[in-house]
Amino acid sequence: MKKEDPRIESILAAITKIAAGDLDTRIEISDALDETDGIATGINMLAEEVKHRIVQHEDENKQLNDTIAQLQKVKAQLSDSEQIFSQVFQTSPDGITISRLDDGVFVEVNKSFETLTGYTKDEMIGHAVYEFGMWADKSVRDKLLEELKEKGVCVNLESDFKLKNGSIVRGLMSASILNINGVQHLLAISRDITDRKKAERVQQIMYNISNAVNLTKDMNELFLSIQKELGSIFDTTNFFIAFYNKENDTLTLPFFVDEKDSFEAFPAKKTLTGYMIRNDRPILMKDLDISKLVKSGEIEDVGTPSKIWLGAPLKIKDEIIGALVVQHYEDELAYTEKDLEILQFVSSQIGLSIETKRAHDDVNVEKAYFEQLFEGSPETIVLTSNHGKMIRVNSEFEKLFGYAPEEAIGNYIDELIVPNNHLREARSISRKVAKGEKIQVETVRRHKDGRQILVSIMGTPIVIGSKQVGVYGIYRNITDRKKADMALRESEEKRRNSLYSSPDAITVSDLRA
Amino acid sequence: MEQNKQKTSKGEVWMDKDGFLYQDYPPGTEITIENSLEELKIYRTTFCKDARRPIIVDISNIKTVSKESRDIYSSEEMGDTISAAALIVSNPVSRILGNFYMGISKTKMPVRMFTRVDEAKKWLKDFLP
Repeated sequence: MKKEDPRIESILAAITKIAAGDLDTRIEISDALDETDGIATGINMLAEEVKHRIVQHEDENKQLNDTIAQLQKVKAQLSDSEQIFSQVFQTSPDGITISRLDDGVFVEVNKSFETLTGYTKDEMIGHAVYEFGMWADKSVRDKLLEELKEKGVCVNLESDFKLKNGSIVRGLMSASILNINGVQHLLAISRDITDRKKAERVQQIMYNISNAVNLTKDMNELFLSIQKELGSIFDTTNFFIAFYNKENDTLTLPFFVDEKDSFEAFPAKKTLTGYMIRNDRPILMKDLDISKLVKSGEIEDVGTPSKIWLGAPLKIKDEIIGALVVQHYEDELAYTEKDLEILQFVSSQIGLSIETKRAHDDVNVEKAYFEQLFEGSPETIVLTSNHGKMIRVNSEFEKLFGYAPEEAIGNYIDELIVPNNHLREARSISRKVAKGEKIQVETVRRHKDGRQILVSIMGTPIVIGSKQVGVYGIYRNITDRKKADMALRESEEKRRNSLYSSPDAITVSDLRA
Repeated sequence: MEQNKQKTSKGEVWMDKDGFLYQDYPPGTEITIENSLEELKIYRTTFCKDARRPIIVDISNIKTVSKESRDIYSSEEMGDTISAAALIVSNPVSRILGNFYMGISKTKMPVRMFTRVDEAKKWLKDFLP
């Protein structure tokens, strides 16, 4: 029997160990480098490779496990984010949409957007925004897309949007680009700011109307201004303002602009305006409701019937001074409940403005009267402060005292026209008038050229409410009258002297007796 | 003619007049990672500074090559230095080593086994710079 090669024994033992998992086992290679050594080398190298691969796989498995753990964590976080996003998306009071950027097709819309536009989700998903004509102004959408391309986000873009029912609302939109599975989408958030804009406009209108009181030259201009301002919210083609006279229950129409009718005044009793004033509340009524009131006998047909009628009483505090009315002869949707609210809101301001304007006009008339009286008076009139500083003088002042108005105004009257020897008396007069006493004296005053003039003075305090604000003085030149008196007295003296000194007997008899 | 023949801790490296590199080892050589790194350094700094060159490696006298050494021979660095390798084998052990090197280790350059140097040179000449 051939003796077995001992290396075969080593190889078998090594294979057994390697099979048992001891991959560090190595077979000694002899210097022969023959087939047996070749087999041993192959087994050694395979063991090395297997060990290396196992280590490698263990590392890879560990990395894979780490990656899986991370992915699971991210997935959980994503799941949370998705839930949060989904909740925000669905419960947001703002309309939120996701549409494809390239063709504008809606991928998702929330409930608020359905409510906002009037379209249902089913109607919108899968259809492009262009199909609904929602952008009232397409150039704004172009601007939005341009900004998105440039910055990736667009914030607070205002635009008008057309709803399903055809009405236009003012919207505020913010948008950003969203990448979903490699496809660019548009995430857009829209808010209806129509009411806010209207409220701002109403504030502006109230401010403008309030300002118009001072900026308009008369009541008619104020009415035109009110019509124009309200016209920026609703149609004011047919518009009138009526003043109500409670005494005789009539309405006068200082401003009446109408396509069909023309009135100046009418009894309030059987009119819709009168009905509104009686009920003391604004009214929005369509023709059918108006007909019902006519049939019930509450009101009578006055003028051309309108399709819709909107009016509000004009009040100062609790007193109704008139009414403001708009009506439309063709479109029964021309006015809405919101317009009614707005009209109710602004009517108090309008009432106040009209009343203020009326008061302004009255003051202007009074002022005109005063001007005529002051400047046209043949007497010299002086207005001074309570301390005697001249505020105003009329043209007669210059004639009497020689001082032009611009020379006199701002000076103290006692220092300007009172001779030195009359200063004490003048001060006494001033004090009396300053205390609210009316005075009337005859005295001497001084002309600019130094001449002394005999004058009568009538001083009257000017009181507004309970407060004295100045003094009103009227000066009259009595020099001629005094001279005439003196001459008369001298003539009588002479006559009396000649009578008593006459050598003849002179009798004076009353012939009537 | 052998040019710049250099000794390494486990063998010799040189370049002939045609530009072929040669590497051989004494009988019973056991190659470790240190030997492989030393060889790579000599190839890069002495013979292949300006271009990749083909090499003829006589592995007939090698007894073992460690796993780490084999990884150096199949590394990117070796691929950037050597354009092709011809392994000269003359016994079962060197054939097994060669097969492992070519089969399991993924080299970054072409590798073939030859029993004769002239055949190896014939194949390698296409890889001269």
